[in-house]
Amino acid sequence: MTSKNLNKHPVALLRTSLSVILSHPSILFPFCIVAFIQLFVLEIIFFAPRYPLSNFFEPIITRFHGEAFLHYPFNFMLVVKWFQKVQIPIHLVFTSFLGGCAVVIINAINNDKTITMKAVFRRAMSAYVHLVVAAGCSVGVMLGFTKLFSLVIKRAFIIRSTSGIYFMIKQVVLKGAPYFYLLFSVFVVVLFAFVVPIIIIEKKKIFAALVDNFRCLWKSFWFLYAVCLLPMILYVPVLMLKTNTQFLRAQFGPESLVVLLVAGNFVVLFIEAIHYTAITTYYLAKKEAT
Amino acid sequence: MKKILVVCFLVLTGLFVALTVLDKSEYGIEKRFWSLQKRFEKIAEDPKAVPERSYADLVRQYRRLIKKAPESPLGPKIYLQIAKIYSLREEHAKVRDVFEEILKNYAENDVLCSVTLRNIGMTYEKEGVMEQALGVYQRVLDEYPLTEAGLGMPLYIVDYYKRSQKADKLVEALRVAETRYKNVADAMPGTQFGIEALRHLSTVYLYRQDWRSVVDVLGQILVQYAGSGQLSPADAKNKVVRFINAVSVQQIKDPSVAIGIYEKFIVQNPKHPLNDFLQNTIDSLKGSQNNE
Repeated sequence: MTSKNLNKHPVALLRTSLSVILSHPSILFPFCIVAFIQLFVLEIIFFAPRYPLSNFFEPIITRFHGEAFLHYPFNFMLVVKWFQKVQIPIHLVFTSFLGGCAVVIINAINNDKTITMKAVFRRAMSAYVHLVVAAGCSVGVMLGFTKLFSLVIKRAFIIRSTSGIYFMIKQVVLKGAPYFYLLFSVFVVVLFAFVVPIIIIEKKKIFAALVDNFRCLWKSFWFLYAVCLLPMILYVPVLMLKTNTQFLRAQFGPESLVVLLVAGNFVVLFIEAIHYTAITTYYLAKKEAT
Repeated sequence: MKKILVVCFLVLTGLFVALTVLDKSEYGIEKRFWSLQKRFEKIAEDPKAVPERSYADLVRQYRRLIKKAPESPLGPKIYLQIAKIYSLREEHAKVRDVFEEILKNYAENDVLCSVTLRNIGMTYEKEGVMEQALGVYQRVLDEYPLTEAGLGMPLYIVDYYKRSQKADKLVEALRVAETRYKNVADAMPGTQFGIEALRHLSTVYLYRQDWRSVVDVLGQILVQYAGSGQLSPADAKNKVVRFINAVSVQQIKDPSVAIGIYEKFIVQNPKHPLNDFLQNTIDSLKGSQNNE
């Protein structure tokens, strides 16, 4: 596929990325490691209220959540709460590094080079600080959006209308909140799309990478937005279930919350794999064209 | 790459197995109890539409759970669920049998036994056999005097006679309750039972509409317990001072009664954190007095 085609059709770029992943499953390796880390942490949190881990965690759980959270079925609420809280540290410490590894692999595939994990890790490790700062930037912007939108939600809560345009606005804001967050997260991914490829491929430092990123984004922002948004559709069913946890719990028991959590994270990792591959492929194609 | 993934998989599986094996908690019992409770809730939605064998089966499941973990802290809750099942079917004798099992198996747990005994009395009440019920309530009083249920029992009996409009019995029950609460308050000052006894005593005077005594007892609570572990400053303000004000102004129609209590408190406790609030209350009460 020519770089011109990739530049015009988001679907074409995604199809290319998917076929690259299928023909080179090694791209998924870093994401498998992220999945391993997440499952490992999840296991620790899941067993935290039970012996022997309870020796350490029981006072913490009792102090911050209450004694009930040591027992079934409230322990599942604890799992969900704590697992969500550790996502940012995991993202900063591990996912940023392993995302860098994925870009090294994609670049090597593009240049028909053989991939050795040692070399991949070494390359990503040499840029680790920059990768973490880049991840910190995107997390910071996302937290900013979240904060701003929470103000909108607060404002929507005090709308008293029970019909009419204001009521509709209230409904859209409150019920659509998870979907707005989804759109924001895509926006943030696109905003820093080329930072990791530039750090890894061009071996640039974070500030230079940020400047080059915005330069590259010029005129291709909305194209990339479409590229990143399309795979996110895979996450919509998870989101729909996440907004109906009461129904899930009633139908399938509290365990379903953890199943949903794990399934949701696998979907996110797969989407991230597609994003990294598509963005890096697009970056390399763009570079080739110039 | 494959090797690393296999190692990761083994680590996760090994950790899961190890933590499951090492787990000595009652997780399995809690899980089973929860699922049975869900079944109970379904039955309780429409007890008459549920076939007999569903009840029997649920009781059997609960019994099996008790057998599986006889020492479980969930034990009393399981018995209580069984009692609730019989209660849904209005089989009060069977409910009492279950409660007797609790009394037998958890004899050392005074709090649990006192509540259970009170519940036995309530089953007699539901059957309309009040003499039996009162006999059981007397047992709660005699056998578990220093429990929440035991302490509340004289007032419960008062309330019963009030509801059933037996004036002579009510007077006698009020007298018994008054003596009982006075004794406990005197015998256990500075304790949770002491303050609870005084609270109940003020309720006894409320029943009698003896407003002056109500205010005196509340004043005693304020003086003895304000700022202690038994009465937080917020509770002192919201539950005691406001009530003293209301009774003094609306019932006794003499705010100086409340003012006297607060002034005495401030003199006795010159550095107490409540003093500013009490001084403001005194000022506003005096203001309302002058306006009248």
